[in-house]
Amino acid sequence: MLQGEKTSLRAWEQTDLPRWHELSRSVYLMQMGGGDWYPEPLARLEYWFKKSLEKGADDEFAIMADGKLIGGVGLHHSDRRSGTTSFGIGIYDEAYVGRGYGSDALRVFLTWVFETQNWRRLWLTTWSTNQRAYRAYQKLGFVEEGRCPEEVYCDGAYVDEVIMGLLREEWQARRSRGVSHVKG
Amino acid sequence: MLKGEKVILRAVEKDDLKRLWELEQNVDLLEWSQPDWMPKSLAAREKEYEKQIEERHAERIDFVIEADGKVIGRIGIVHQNRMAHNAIFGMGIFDREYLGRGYGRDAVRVFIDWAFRILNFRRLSLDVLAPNERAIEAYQACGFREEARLRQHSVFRGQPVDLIYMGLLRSEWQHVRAARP
Repeated sequence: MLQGEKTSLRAWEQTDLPRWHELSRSVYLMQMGGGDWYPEPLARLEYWFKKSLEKGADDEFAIMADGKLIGGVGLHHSDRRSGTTSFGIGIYDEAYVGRGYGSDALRVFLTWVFETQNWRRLWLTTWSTNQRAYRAYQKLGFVEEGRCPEEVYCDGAYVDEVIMGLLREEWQARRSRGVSHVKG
Repeated sequence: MLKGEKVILRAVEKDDLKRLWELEQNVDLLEWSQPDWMPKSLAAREKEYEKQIEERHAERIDFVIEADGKVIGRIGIVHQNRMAHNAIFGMGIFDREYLGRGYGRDAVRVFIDWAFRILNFRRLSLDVLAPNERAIEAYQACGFREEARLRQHSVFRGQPVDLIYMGLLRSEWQHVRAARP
């Protein structure tokens, strides 16, 4: 388990699925991730979970706060040869949105990504309409690297996809200046 | 989960199958959408459900319609064409208590909003038996218009009846929505 100030990060367990299913009913927050929302039965989440066990994927974390599951963060598009990977994060409990829980989880996650897992570069994509996320990523040191105009249909309109990235050396430099400290 | 004024639309859970199967026994209501009603066991419905769970990119997207904490019907996409951005859907209220009281049209309105605003479909359509005046009226109230009438295409309770195709474009729906108080 990785410990932050407000959150902790741990592996997903089968017992998390009913809570995850409850959180995934929030159309508004789920849209921030994929731009869409579909009705997913608990049985399908259980099916996917079993599938993921067979694949042996182990780069997905559940984000916990106050003993509850509030979101998730995980790596995608990992390329060991180049040392680059991307990630996605979501806080899906309305009560924990916009209160620094996502940023806290990411500070812990970045240490794991750059030190424990030795990735050299980490990138992400978000929608131009998601200003809250954009500012949070900026504060953590991510810089905007590109914009794909009207990449996705989200909530009735075509919006830009924004690509942001952070190199390990940039992250280390910020950390040694005390910009982004990490406990635990 | 999608919220209307009277109903919510949510995924079909395994726990819903028994209730849906019970509603399915209201043959006189089911006949409107399934004029060739046949008996199906709960076990058969459970088997179908398991199969659907394993389809990653299912063409069907099913919701249950819930009111007062009870499942009262279903609504969902039965066919979609992603190249042309159109979808065909179906809806039914199968609990007698909730018939003719605006629950169906509330569900359709919420569903249309999801299909256009979130899923980016450009056109929605459906078919309905001509004698099903209550449903036709509800679809009209949501902005659908008759586009075709297939003469004596179906048989309903022993009589040949017309099948009506109805459609709604996103551009029209925005108009319908703006016109609502």
